[in-house]
Amino acid sequence: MVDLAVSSLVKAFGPTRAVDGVDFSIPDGALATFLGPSGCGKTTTLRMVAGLETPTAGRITLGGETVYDSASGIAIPAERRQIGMVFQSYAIWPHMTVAGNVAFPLGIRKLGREETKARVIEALKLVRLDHLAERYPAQLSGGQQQRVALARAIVFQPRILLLDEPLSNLDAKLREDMRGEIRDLQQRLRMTTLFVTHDQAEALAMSDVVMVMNQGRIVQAGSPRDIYRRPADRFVAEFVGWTNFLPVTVAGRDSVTLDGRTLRADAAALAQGSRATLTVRPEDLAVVAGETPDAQSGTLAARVRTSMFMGTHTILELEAGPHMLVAHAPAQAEHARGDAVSVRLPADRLLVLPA
Amino acid sequence: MTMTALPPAARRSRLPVGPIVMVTVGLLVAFLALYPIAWLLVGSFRTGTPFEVGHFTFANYIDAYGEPNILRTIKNTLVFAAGQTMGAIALGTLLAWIITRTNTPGRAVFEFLTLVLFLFPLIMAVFAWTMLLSPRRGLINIVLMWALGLETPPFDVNSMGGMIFVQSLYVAPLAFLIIAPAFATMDSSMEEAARMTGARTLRILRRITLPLALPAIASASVLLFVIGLESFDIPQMLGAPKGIYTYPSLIYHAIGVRVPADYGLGTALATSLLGATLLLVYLYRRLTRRTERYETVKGKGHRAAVTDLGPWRWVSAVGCWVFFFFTVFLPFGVLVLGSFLGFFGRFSWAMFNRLTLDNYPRLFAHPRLIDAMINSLGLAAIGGAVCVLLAAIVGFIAIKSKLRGRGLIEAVAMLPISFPSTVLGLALLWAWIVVPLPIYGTVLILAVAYITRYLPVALRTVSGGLIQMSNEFEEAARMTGAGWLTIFTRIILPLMKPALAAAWLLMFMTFVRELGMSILLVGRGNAVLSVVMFDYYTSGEQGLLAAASVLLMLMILSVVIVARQVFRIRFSQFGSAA
Repeated sequence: MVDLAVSSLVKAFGPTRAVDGVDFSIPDGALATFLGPSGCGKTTTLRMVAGLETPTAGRITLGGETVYDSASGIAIPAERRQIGMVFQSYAIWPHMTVAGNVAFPLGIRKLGREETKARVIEALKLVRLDHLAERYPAQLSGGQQQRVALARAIVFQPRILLLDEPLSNLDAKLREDMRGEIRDLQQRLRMTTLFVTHDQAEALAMSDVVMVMNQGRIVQAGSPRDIYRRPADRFVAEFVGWTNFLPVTVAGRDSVTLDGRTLRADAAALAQGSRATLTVRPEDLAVVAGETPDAQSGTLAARVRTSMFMGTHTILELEAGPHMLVAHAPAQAEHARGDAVSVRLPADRLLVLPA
Repeated sequence: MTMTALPPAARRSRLPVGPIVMVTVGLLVAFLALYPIAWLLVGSFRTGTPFEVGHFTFANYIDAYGEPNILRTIKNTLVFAAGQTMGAIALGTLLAWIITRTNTPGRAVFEFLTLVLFLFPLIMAVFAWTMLLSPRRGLINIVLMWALGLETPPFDVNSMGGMIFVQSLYVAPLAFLIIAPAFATMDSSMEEAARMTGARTLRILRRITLPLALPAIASASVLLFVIGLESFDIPQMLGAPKGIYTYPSLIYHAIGVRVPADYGLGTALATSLLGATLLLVYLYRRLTRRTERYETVKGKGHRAAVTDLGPWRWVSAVGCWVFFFFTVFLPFGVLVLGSFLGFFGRFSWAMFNRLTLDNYPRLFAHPRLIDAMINSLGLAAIGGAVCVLLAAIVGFIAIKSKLRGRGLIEAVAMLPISFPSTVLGLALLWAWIVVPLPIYGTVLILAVAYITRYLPVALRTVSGGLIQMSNEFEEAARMTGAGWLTIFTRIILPLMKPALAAAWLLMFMTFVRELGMSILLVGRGNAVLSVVMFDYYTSGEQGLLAAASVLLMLMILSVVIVARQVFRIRFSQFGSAA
């Protein structure tokens, strides 16, 4: 496997730029993920790396070989790029058996019968499907088809592997199993992999690097922990599960004011007096019955609007003055509509973002 | 991985295979569609026959439109086209609704019978209906005169009304093919919403269902009107003997009947008719462009719920059986009966004493018929296959490739859908007489004619399959290193097998029945079944015609049944052909 480097990649459809100057690289053996809402340009970028879409401008390099460069007019077609790809629909050819599908890339490379057979079986063993080699795709479950697609993509020793939302067509339980399976295989074979998804849990669970995309640009790239704990802006925060947003003003290096009340939070990155957004996750809010007598710093008085019992926890929608807050309370907490409660915002769990 | 690394796929030659195939196919398609029409245009502006040297003139048009009878021909053509459009739309819409949207018992059978009706050779229909509705000998006339005590026969099949009636019955399946999908993919919650407001079945049908199907009905009407304008078989066989001419039968009259042939009149009429059909087909394409897109967005898997007709379902079932009795079973029965009679004559019980087996041996004693049968089957089977393969290549270029100019190739390949068969027949006649190649007068010219005229229909049928096919199938092949030729032969063709089989079947049936072009292009050496049967019809060889019809129908039915079993073809696959 080799590394992938992409610089200043642009794809324009008429006046709109679906991909607007994307730069990134994936070191040999790593798994990088594009995470973003539909239409953010993540699949278009992946397809340009594959060679299925022609970029408007930019440069793509695979292990030192330039496969696309608008400046020097290099454009290696998809079929010559030696890239394995798993499609969203799997695209398992229905008129060939499992073994036939996996053997197809080897036939193109004119391998002998014996070697083809050995390699097909080895690839199918890797995805634990060697017992179904003679089946037709229609006789397979979604998860099995997925694994055939994976075997077909890696059997010819591609330079890198591309995965286009490969889990989106599976049901929830199977999706979680396949996450682990794909990650395990990728690490075992040390395959340089580019993965596209709109599911933040998938991206966080599987990646070495997550690149969050929005409107054709990479807005933040980093390790899953970075992205989750320190989103760069409100868009990334919303996309990785931050739900409460409060308008505040930066009061000092470690304090902000909300409706005239001072709250402790790290705001060192922002200029004093500037407008900002305070964000906090539902599970980090502590809800206590009754109004706290003194206006203790970091505690807001609120009223319960709805209370939804979820089994593992209870979701509370709270009205704190003009603000709506969502909090996760323990399952056994019993708050009824209209109850007065206190919400504590723990200083070490608050994040201050530019407005 | 334990496996050793593989080399990249063998480097293919530097030849730009895609563009080469593209240009070759483009030139071929352009040649097929444009070359004969160019000669037709030339012919219409010059004097003399194709065999002579001529000079430029407007006289052909002046003569054609100076003749006082031309107004009557124009009127006949328009009345016939409009009449059969209304009849076929009414029948087709009703059948489509009953079959796709009601719980009428036997709907699957009715759908199959609609297919049989669709494939029923018109010459057989004409012959059968002549024996049923001719004033003096027609069985229905005789029965009605006897039952109602009438002095004069109530029906005359050799009239404008008779022509419209028979034509409507047999083009109704085409209306069905276009309208049925609109009913089948309709969102039934719209009707359920109307039901919840208290509307009853009939009101829902009138106020919700039919208006929703209106775009499909409108586009079907335009297409059927074009079919009416260019129809040759029925106007020729029922109208022409009584002096009722439409444009196509008048063109044939000028070229194939008059001695010496009047090429000036024929070409002038042909270019005018072609102008009208080109315009209307353009209109049809614009009408359908939006509904087509809508159709593909909706996709498959969505089947509208059926309406419970209650006791009325028995009424609609009986209605369907009556319809198919008169359109399929009775004509076929009359043909079988006729095939055992030397001369059909006036229907009477006494004719059963004259039953004979002579016709069948007599048929096989005709060397011309044997030749015609071999030619027809060969043209239908091989010509059909070539046509479908060409359609598959053009469809692949147009839909799956990103080559520049792909839209133009498709547009040119689709052009002949608006060529009336007599017009194309005359154009080819002219185009191949003037070149010194031994093609005129052989089966080859018929193959060229059939493939040119019906390539658009094959292309539409094949395209239906191609559009539905996910692009990811061939992209997956590209990613593994496959070139376009490998993708076409190993992925696209196998995946298209059902669509190709359906297209081939449709071509087979169409080629075997083709009359309008064949009749102008058949000489001594290249007889085909439809033309021989037409000759039997004109010369009054009723017994032979009936026997040949029975054989033809059995042949067609066995091919249909085998193809349906082997390839699991559904009738609806022909829908995209329309």
